Amino acid sequence: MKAHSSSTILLGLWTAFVLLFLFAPLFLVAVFSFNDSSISVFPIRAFTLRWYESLAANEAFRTALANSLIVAGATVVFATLLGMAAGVGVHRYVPRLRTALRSGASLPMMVPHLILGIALLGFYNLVAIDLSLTTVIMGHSVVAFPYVFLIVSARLVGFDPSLEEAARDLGASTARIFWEITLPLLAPAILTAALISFTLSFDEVVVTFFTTGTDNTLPMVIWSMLRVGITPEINAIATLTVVVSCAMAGVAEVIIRRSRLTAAKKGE
Amino acid sequence: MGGTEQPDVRLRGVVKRFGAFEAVAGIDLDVAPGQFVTLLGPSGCGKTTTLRIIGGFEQPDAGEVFVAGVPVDSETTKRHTRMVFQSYALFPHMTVRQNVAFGLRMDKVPKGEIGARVEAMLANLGLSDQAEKYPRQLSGGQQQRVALARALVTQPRVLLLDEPLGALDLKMRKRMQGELKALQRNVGITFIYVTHDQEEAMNLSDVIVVMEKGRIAQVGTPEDVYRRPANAYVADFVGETNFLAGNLAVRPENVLIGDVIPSGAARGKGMVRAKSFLGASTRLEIETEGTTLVATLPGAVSIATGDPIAFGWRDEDALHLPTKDSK
Ligand SMILES: Nc1ncnc2c1ncn2[C@@H]1O[C@H](COP(=O)(O)OP(=O)(O)O)[C@@H](O)[C@H]1O
Ligand SMILES: [Mg+2]
Repeated sequence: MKAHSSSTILLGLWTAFVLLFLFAPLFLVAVFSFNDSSISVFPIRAFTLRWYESLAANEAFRTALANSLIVAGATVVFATLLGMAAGVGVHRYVPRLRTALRSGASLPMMVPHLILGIALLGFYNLVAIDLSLTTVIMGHSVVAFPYVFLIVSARLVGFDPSLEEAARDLGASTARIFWEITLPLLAPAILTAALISFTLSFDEVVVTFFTTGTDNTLPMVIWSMLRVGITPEINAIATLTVVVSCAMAGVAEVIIRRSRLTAAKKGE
Repeated sequence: MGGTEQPDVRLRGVVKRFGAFEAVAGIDLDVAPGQFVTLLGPSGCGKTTTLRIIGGFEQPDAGEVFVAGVPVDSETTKRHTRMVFQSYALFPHMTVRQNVAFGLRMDKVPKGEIGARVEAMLANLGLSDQAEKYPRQLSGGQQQRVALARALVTQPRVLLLDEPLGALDLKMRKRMQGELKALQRNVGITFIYVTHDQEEAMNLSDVIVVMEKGRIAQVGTPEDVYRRPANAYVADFVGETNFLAGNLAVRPENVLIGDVIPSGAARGKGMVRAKSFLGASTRLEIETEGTTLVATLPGAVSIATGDPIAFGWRDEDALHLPTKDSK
């Protein structure tokens, strides 16, 4: 009993240490972004919003933010549409190849982004496409596609096929079945996939580095600003990025929970 | 089932294979309008597959299927059949009312008419109070009724039901059996019902189709099938049967014991090996010449386990089954 409780304490300490290790840097970044000092050191002097103000006035930052939002938005559209179509298509028309295709589709997830970036650059050169935000969007879509495909596929596995049969039996056309039955039931998975695509794209550096022309995205701007050291503006950008990413992840989590709850109730 | 009347459903030489396995191995069947017909057989004998072929969900590999005289083609969307699925397959993101209205919407029925027909159908099945609920908020029995309402509101000629009571508990099942039978009389359309439960089949059906390994073993009224089973398989599957020497068999309730055996009906003597009181009846297992004979007697009996006992049956109560190889 005693051994048990001392090991529990040890485990608790270890957990606290890991959490501290994970979150302390993020926390410090946020703290320094509000600190009235141009260097990131203790002690904290005074609360200020001036680093956020100077960011808002920074032309390079504003363009990069706009570019990042355009790229992430477009990636969400392409990756989600393609991933969903692939998920539904594979599930419906080639059920025998489901497992094989799922492993195949998850391959890009395991390729390091460095390799993916080089491969994409080589490909764009080969087919003579000029590098621009469009090529970045294509690259990010490649990165996000497997996530969408796998999330949608997972949802389809738990899908009662007799729902679609029942709809057909009641006179629904294939298009009607998709709009009225399949899509609403896939909606939570699709929304989750879209949010994950957004986050993946919004944070992406390596693939962007290889596939962009003269346009910069937010992480690229951070990267270039870092050459002159960590400025409070970078802390401000980082804080904003973390907030956006956390919000996305939070929304995704809520959606997943709610749909799981629905599924659980249905299974009663 | 002859006459000049056209059958609602007609199967001719229907075969369905999954790989090399014949799930349906040549079925001919005519179903007259307005009948409650049950496909009865053990799990895996091809009942669901047959039903799905009638519903146009599966294409047979050979043979023809007609519903209301029209060949069934799984590509045609407008059909005369509607299916009540074993899982109910209610649309989880739609309310009860939306579920029931779905088929009418797909048939492009005018809005006002949809509302009226849905209300009437909900009222008919006692679902008016549940109209705004989602399927997950309903009990099994209520979900079952929504599935029925959703199919019936479109006024099909034939309703197909695949073990619709399988997910319910015994008490609810008995109650729904009564409701289903009443409903079928009420709407007057043909029901084709699948079950592996012979009691359910006896209780509900006008006609029972006993199936064995993808084939039809016998078609007849519940009484036909019970009293005049076409072969040993049917006799064994429908009700309990004592198989005797030769091609004779006798039902447990027709076994007589003790001093009530009329002259000429006595068959032998044995010993009571087990006795169980079932409330309305008593079941005896009588050991005789190395075999066991089961007898069910009305009410309670004053015989104990281990007692010697005389048994018999009337000639007219014995079942004459065709010998095995006469098939
Ligand atoms: N889609 C399918 N693929 C392969 N085998 C199937 C399929 N559907 C049914 N079967 C097989 O066909 C046989 C009959 O199935 P089914 O019609 O569902 O039987 P029942 O409803 O009488 O239990 C079973 O052995 C089953 O395994
Ligand atoms: Mg079945």
